[in-house]
Amino acid sequence: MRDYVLRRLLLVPLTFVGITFVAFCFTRFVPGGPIEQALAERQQADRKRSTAARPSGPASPEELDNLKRRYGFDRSLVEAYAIWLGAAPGPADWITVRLDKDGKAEAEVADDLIPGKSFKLNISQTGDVFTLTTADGNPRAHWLAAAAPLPDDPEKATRVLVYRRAYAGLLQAELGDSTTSDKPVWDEIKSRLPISAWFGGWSLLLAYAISIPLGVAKALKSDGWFDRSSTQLLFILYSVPGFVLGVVGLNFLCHQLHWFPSMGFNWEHAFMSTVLPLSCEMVGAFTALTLFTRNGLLDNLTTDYVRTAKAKGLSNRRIVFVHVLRNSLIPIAATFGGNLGFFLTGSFLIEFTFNIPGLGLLGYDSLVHRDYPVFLGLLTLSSLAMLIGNIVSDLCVAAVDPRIRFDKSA
Amino acid sequence: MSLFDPSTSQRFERFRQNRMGWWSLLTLVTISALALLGPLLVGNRPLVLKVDGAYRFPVFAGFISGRELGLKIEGEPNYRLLAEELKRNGRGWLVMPPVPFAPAEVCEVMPEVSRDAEGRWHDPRGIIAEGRIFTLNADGTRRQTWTIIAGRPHGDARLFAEGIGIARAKFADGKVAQRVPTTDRTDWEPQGSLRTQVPSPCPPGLDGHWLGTDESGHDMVARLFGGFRLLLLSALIYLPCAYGIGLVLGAAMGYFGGWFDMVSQRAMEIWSNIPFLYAIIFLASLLEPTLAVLVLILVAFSWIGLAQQLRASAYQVSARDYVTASRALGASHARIIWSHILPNCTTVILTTLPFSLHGLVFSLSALDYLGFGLPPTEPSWGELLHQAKENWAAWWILGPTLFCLVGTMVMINSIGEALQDAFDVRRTQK
Repeated sequence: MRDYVLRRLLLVPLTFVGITFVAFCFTRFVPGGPIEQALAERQQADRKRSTAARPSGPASPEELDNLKRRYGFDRSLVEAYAIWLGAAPGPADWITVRLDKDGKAEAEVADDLIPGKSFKLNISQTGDVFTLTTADGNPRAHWLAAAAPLPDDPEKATRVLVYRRAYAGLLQAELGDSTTSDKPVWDEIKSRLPISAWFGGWSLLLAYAISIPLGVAKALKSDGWFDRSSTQLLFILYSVPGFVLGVVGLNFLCHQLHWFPSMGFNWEHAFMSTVLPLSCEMVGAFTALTLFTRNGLLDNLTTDYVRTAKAKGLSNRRIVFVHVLRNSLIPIAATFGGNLGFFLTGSFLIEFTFNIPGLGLLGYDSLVHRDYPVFLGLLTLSSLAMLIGNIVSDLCVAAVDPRIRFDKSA
Repeated sequence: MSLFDPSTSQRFERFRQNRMGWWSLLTLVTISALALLGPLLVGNRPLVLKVDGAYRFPVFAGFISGRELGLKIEGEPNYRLLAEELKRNGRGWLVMPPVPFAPAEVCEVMPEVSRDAEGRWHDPRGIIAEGRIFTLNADGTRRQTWTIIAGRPHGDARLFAEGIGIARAKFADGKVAQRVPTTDRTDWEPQGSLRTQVPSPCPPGLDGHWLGTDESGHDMVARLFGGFRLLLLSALIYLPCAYGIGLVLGAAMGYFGGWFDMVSQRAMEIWSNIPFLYAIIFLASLLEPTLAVLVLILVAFSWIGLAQQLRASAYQVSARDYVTASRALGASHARIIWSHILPNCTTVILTTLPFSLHGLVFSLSALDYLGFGLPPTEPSWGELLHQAKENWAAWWILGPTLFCLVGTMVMINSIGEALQDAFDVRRTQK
């Protein structure tokens, strides 16, 4: 068992890198990214003013270059990914300056030792080499400068990039800043997490708390009227997509009857703003779980050990709740880990419908606005949750059924 | 394997015994057959058209210029209006499809108006408070318009010829007050077949729109019908592709196992962890979102689940003795997969089929609902749901869409339930 968990854990980083790399490729090749947005803004501005070449403003060569650097578009795909991951050093706290006639310049950069402060660096060029010194004339560790020429530069002065060479990626727990709000991605996620966890927690709890007893009840009276009608009902519930129920609920219960607030989420009225979205999120959630439980229980009730237990004179109640139920929970335990990811990432169709500011809506907005740092941050979170969830599933299965050993290949 | 071997016919009988599933299947097949009729049932071109003694079949012939029909217009006539004109002047007749609107057609809802005893103009909903009444040419352009305030002509009235205004009059309190040019026309009283325009979305029952129109003026019945046709078409692309890939890879993984299985499993784990809707939104913005592209993207993400299920059953079968036996007899891998593994996967295929359809309908609707799906000219249920969300007073958009979508889903899932029941091993053993 230990070996198995270790092997699975070793595969996690590999899979994780695979997932994030594929997603990273998406961000590079999808049109409508930050560079194109800036270019489109420029076209609009040009149409208004009809001045062809402007040194500044949206999508000046200067700003385009800054944008490219900010998103790592100035580097190769693999290099940019490695920097995002934190496996390769990238330029941090960078700034571009122009040298004056004497080949000197001054740059004010964020201090890496005292947070929130900045300090001045003097740059001088001798030949092709740039030297950086602080105000007291000493070099500063990790700070470097490099020429950063622009294509079709309207200015003649040499453009220099001043940066700190640092590992600042996922491995250092840095996800970068959101491009829409300029706040750190991690702060954005943290501010949305409680709402998603609230909804996820309730739905997880209710799903298991309702489905398992219901499944047991159905199995005990299998093929009776209750079993048949509840199966029918469960399939009808399964057929209603949550977001469709959401639209219906919004229309009738919120807009027409005013029973529930129509938009957003408010902790002060948590109950009222939870009921409707939660029921939409959960409308189809019971079906599979309940039927799993029912069928698993039915399968187990026909096994030999049940017959033996009966022959031994055990009560029906004891057979079902002590012996059979435990075995029937194995497939249920296997689904538990998968739900863990959902718990964190939220259902973005429901959050979109009800305008609930959870992680799902954050993800949707990040896609619409091509806010890649936020998108990749959320992807990191959800894929980690999923990968860990899978292992948790296996552990749950092993906990419920000591016979199961994953060491042997299946 | 005969289609009607004893176990198959036993399963079929059991499937039929599940009344809900059986009737769902019959209903769905009937509706799909009707949907295949397409423009014969729902469309804006007549089935038969007789003008001046000559028969034409525009629903098959396609575009017919107004000139060919002896009208003074170049474009295609609005056949619904032409029908009335032909009736009036006795030049012929035409038969429209039962629903005379095309799914992608933007209709101006123009109910006829009537005048009460006090001379006030009414549309079917009541007195026209503020609006226009007009007469139309067969191509849908206006011939004469009057501005109506509080039921009476007030303000501008115009006369058009080929879309250009040629005469104008000003009304005050229902009477002509001023004319330009003064000589041409003397009679400015509204007469003939007069209509008014109702803004979209228009409630049901006006101008032949049984279920009203949506935000952009599409007829709701035609839109829903078109949406179903699109779903049908997408299923016809989706199912063969998804099952083809899933089957081949799943069977190969289960059969060969080992190294190939291991690598494919990892690749599938990576691919299935990419958030599905995120990836679709990305890819849809990269490629022109046509139906085929959307469906193929869906295939790209949904074959994994199928492959994993098929892998499991292929894995079981490949360990059986008869597979070993045929291998010993020198059968090739391809032959074993084709004649032993795949036939044993039919149960998995059949029982998962309805749930794959469920997923397809869900995903397509969700994408259109979010606004990342088909272009808005295409009829789609998801887009109608989006409109219903934005336009909550328009119950005639939400109600029928809900009925169609949930109805289809319920039928699909009932078939799925019945199939699972019919193929249930536990039942067979009883």
